[in-house]
Amino acid sequence: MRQAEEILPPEALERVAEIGRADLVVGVPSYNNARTIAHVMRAAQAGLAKYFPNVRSAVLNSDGGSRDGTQDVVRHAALGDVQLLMVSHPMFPIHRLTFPYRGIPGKGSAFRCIFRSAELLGAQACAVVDADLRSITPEWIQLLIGPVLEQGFDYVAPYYLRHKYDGTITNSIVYPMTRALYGVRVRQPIGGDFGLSGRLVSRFLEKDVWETDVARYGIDIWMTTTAVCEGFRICQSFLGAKIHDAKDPGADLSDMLVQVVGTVFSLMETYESVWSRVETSHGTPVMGFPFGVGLEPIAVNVERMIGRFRTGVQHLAELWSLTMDPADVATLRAMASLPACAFRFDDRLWVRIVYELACAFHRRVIDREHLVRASLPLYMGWVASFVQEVAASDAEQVDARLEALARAFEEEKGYLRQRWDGYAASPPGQGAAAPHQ
Amino acid sequence: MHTIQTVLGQAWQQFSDQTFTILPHVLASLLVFAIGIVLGLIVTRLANWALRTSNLDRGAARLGLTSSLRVLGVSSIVRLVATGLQAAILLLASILALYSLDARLASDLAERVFLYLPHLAVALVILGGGTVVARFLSRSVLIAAVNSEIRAARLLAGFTRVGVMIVACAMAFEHLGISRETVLTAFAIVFGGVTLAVSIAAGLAMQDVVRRWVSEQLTPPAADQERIDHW
Repeated sequence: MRQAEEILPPEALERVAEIGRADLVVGVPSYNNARTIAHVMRAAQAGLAKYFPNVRSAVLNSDGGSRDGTQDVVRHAALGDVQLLMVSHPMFPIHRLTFPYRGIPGKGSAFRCIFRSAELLGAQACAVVDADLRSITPEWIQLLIGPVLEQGFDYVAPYYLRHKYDGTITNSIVYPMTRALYGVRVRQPIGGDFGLSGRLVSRFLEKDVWETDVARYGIDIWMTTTAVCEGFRICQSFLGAKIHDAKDPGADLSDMLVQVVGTVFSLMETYESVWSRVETSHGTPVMGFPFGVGLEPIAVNVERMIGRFRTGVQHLAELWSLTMDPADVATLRAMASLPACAFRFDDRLWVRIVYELACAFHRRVIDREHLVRASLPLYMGWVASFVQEVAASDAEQVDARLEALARAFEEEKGYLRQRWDGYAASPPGQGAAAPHQ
Repeated sequence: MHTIQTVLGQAWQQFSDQTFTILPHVLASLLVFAIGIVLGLIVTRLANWALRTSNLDRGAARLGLTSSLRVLGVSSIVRLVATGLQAAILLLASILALYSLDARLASDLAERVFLYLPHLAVALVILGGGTVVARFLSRSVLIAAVNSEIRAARLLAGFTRVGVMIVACAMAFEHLGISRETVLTAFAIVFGGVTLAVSIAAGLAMQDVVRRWVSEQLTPPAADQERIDHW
């Protein structure tokens, strides 16, 4: 029997004992979300009351020591008959030093507290939603919990309507890699809002990752990858548009890459035995009723992105040559001299670069954080190319474009296998030739 | 004439006596040294063969040490270890050869060398460590500067590397006792100069901020709108 005292503070355990049992739990991790959390809490309560009126339920808030009155807002949020449990998850100095690209610092700690509370309450299903959501509706609760309760799914990933320029790291790396590696098409593997079965919650709690960087910064992709690789039933739920509170304009993009991409690469080592056997991918069911919605236009400075790519080629090509094939580095140099209107990042080249990065990460050719941060100019180049390509495209055409990229990741998987196994024996440019096209 | 012949004969006799006394020692010394060279070559080949089968280079690559060692001119750890063994055998052979020549001289020299060796080892460690740290920090600065769209990224990285290496060299020279006062004084001057330059640059850049702050402190607060008489 696991010792709950190690995770939850005594006052939280008392409250859990008071509540006794809850079949459904909605968890809301928070940190300085006073502006938006009231709406999220009301939406959660309304969703539970409307769609699961005869089921015992609770809303859990795990806060990381907010200083803007978030906990007061939560305490005064009207929840009707729904039980409220408030927990403070531990926030270490490291959580405050490096903020996640999205979401709250110490999100892994928050999830651990929520999951542990849900397990103690005997919850059959648990939904977790971000505290800074502005577009959450009561229907989200039904869409995240319904497939678990009614159809026996273990993991419900979100499916959002997003602007074609939004979520580029998901579109360029995380989605196609998850699909190619593990054979499962989850469109938003790092969505942030999930539904889970009690069984999956218990499995997550058994894992020994909660004190690591994976849990600190990559909890979303970790949860998706673990659910996929350990054979749990997965589906997606259409939630419409996802609108957050305004992002911090000073947030560092390279931090985002290190957190997300670093976690993806780390998980490749954990689940090597899984992805090395997967040959093709299959779709996952999508719940809910897909509908169109107007999205606010997004301004993108393509010239600046291409400029960052060119600067990267000028200063970092030598570093890239430690991990990439010399022919690919030469191609990147040639791309840097193209005029902006002719700038295009070939899919196969991008796929090879990402796979080479993964192999170099695995073999620790250079410091891992240096390796990922140094790839930011390459990512900027891909985004600039993508934006120019789809500038005049509608949603269907953009989907087709991204489908082509995802297929390229699947088709080049043999290159990844070859490089992964034989990397130390034959560094880039030497030994076995790469299957270039 | 007889006297000159006698002197020359005596001189030649002394020379011959000394030569025949020293010659065996010299020949023994050369033989020991030659054996040392041959032994060193044999041990090097054996070490190369034995260490290659242990995948030492692959392990170093996995730890990310390869590029740092390449900077020091080391392309292979296996070759480095084998060369180190050869150098150790040659050194030992040289000392034995000296003992064969003159035990007292060799003893003095050996004592000085062995007393100095720890300083040399520490200095090499400091230089090696400094090289690795310089490379790591300059790479960190380069990547951060490129991602922050700073044009002088390579210049900043270069300054970082040179700065760290200067510190490492100063520490190494201090350990070796080479021009200790000169090195310390030069380091203090350079470091002090850099600090002064940075302070002046920061001061010039922030003069508006400081001026505004001082003015806020010295300006009396606006008259209160409150109408209450407290007495």
